[in-house]
Amino acid sequence: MDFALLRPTSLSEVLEMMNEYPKARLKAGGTDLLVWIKKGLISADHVIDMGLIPEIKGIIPNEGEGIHIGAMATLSDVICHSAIQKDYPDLTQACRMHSDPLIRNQATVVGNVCSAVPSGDCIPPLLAHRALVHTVGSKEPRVMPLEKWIIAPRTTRILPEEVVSSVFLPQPEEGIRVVGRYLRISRRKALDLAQVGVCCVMEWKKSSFQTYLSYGAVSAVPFRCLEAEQIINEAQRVDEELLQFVVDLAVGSVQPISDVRASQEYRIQMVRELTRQALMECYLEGRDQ
Amino acid sequence: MNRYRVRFVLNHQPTQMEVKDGQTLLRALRELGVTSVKRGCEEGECGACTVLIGSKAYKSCMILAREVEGKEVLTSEGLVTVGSKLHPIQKAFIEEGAIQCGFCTPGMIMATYALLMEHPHPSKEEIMDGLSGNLCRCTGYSSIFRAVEKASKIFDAPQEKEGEA
Repeated sequence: MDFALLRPTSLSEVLEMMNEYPKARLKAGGTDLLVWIKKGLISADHVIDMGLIPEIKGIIPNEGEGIHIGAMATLSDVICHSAIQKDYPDLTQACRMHSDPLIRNQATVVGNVCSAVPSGDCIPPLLAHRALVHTVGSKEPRVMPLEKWIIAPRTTRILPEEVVSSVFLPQPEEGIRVVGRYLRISRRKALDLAQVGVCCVMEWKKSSFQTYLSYGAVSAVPFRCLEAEQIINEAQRVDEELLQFVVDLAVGSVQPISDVRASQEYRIQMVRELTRQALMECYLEGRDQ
Repeated sequence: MNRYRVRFVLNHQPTQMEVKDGQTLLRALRELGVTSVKRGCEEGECGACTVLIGSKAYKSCMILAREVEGKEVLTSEGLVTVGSKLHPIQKAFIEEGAIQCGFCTPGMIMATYALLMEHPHPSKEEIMDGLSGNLCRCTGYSSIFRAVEKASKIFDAPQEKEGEA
């Protein structure tokens, strides 16, 4: 690979380099970037490696407000993090299903959000938790809901000379119990992209709950199915009658394609199955706790 | 293109190598003569190039050589001790017939090493997950899983002794 590698040690240095080399590529884990460069899918004269920047390493709790997942935090870092296991269990599940343990030591959650492929496993859980994308750049730092961040496959709202510093997960309110499921289907468990990914989060307060339902790999951009969420939240129950209604809503809101991984028909059928399973499991677990 | 001198610890020995910016750790190690690190897919799929950096396993085709500056890198050669004594994991792979063509073996062994460091007594599921990034086209994996189980038992004794001391 024929690029110049730059290794800054602070975010301000990254911004200076981006100013000097506007076409430079940013590298976090590099598990997508290096493959894309090698295959000639993208060009790169300069690659800026973010691996030496202390301020974006790791996972930083912001007392009482939530958790920042720094741009260099790996999937393995997230999997091991006890506060994430407790309040964002579906994100832990998604990270565990991603690729394989070796790649998880290297690939980052923020990279998943910036690669913005439709099947990105971290994205549906982050959407369900209303994650915020934090950026720094030549102008003011920005904070944007993840829902608005991805606008098309592999395309985000990032500006030229801007860097994502973290993804922020808001902390559930006091007294809330979070139950979450990320369910996915792929041809083989390891090292394969999702054919369908469904995430359900239920935030329980005593016997009432709020539901968040999101989908990956079944539309151009992972999304939340707000209509279905509203119906479930109004009903405050999950039973066969409601499931049939909600599953139809979900199927109506996805737009899967047929590709090498699965046919459109299969994906739609799996949206039905996984939506049903995720909702039922979250409901029973939350209700019985 | 610029060349850089990278100083790191390779298999317990302070080492220097001259590398280019876009050169992967895999290619740099092979240039150094570390041939246990295999060049398979070179896109992070097969795991034949697995090495340890610090205490974690990585696919060295996805790491740039410059990134290991100041770090400790361990390959299958580094598991062999003085007097060409094989590591218990390497022995277990031989004894269980977990090797056929042998191309995946050094990577499998390094992934096993990382797995056993984290889970000294792995369940079948943990073994399967721990090696899920390493492909073998010969053995059908059963003999490899047996070797990992065997190696985990050999590991017990010295580790417990160390803990007591």
